[in-house]
Amino acid sequence: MAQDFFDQAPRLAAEEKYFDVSKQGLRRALLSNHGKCDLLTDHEVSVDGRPQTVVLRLNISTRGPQPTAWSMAVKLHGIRIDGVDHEGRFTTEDGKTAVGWHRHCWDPIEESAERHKVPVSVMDDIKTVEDFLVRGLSLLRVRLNAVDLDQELRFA
Amino acid sequence: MPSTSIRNCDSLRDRLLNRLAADLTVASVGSACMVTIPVRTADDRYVDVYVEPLVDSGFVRVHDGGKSTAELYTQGIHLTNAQEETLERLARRYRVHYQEGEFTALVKEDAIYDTVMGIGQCASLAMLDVVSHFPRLEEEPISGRVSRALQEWKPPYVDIQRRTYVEGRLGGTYFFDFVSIPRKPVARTVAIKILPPSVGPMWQAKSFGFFALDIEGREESTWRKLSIITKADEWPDKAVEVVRKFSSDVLLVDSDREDRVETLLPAKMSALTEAA
Repeated sequence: MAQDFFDQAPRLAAEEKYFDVSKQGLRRALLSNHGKCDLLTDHEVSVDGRPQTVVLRLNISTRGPQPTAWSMAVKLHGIRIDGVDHEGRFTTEDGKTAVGWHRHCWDPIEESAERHKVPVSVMDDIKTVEDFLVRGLSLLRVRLNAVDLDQELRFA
Repeated sequence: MPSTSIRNCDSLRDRLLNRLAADLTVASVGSACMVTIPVRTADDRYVDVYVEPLVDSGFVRVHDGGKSTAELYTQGIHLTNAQEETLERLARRYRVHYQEGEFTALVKEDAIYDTVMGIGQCASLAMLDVVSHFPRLEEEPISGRVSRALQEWKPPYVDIQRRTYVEGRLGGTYFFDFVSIPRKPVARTVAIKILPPSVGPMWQAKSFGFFALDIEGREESTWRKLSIITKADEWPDKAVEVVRKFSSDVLLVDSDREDRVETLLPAKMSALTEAA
């Protein structure tokens, strides 16, 4: 039976999450799918001392030449629980007006990451997809496979 | 009375104009100007519209950078063909275009205002689907099903380990999702690898092949390997054959048929565990 682990969303966002794909593999996936990528991973989390497995999705969009239109999100049951994107103007969690890159953080009262926005300067001046992936994945605590297949393999 | 009401309307207009002027911002972004207009989307964002002059032509390209469809995607709404067609029709109503996920128009400079507002309204209306977007409780992860099936199958002389890591000769770190380790020498160690399509079935298949080759010479390479291919209906035959080449056995699981793992796994494990 499917379970709802949204109460674990802040922990899931804070923990390192492993996706079994290399950075180069991710780049190739984005190039071959109009700048979009949708990956799944089974992530283990301890709930009340018992190990549970949740399916997390990593969605990345790098469509178009404008880095400010790119975005990245970690999702649970199809709902964003963590993410980073850019807006020309937004309201921060403490009610101030800000500009630029920000992280969407889970609000347990609203049960949403839509409105809880925290500015992140580490994403400033991003110019390339490479920059975006490296900084964004680090911010969202996503770890990739260090091994990449860069050439055709010959099978005996 | 009439003079008072006119004064109130004028002061209201002034107040609104001041607020609109304050809320409308224009920033330089590369070769474009990013106009943030005071229109909120259903997911509580202000709309950004990009204006890119085409040098010495008198024309400008106005677009949303694909931001709306990107936001829909990262919020869990993957547009169907029907939804894409609706966005195309929406764009036409505002005399702009919807192409490859982007609201866009190429216009003369004197049409900038109408086009910016048209793109902005399209970008805002495109987010309407978030209103009816709810959590989609996913089925139990396949690893959970495999774990349960292994616990029900396991004979007394076998221990089941989860996520066993292996170092490759080239320095890569890999893992088997489960390993069945017998306590008696006449039975064999069986390692299970769950293979979803990931960034693409052939990439996944080659990655698995690379894994198998990279651990040659290590004790783990002598383990019998059971590969569980999930969403098997999305895998081309060639990719499945690559996985078969490096596996002792393969269990194919189609989308929405993951319950079959619990039915089919025990027999495969029994056969692989036997020493012969």
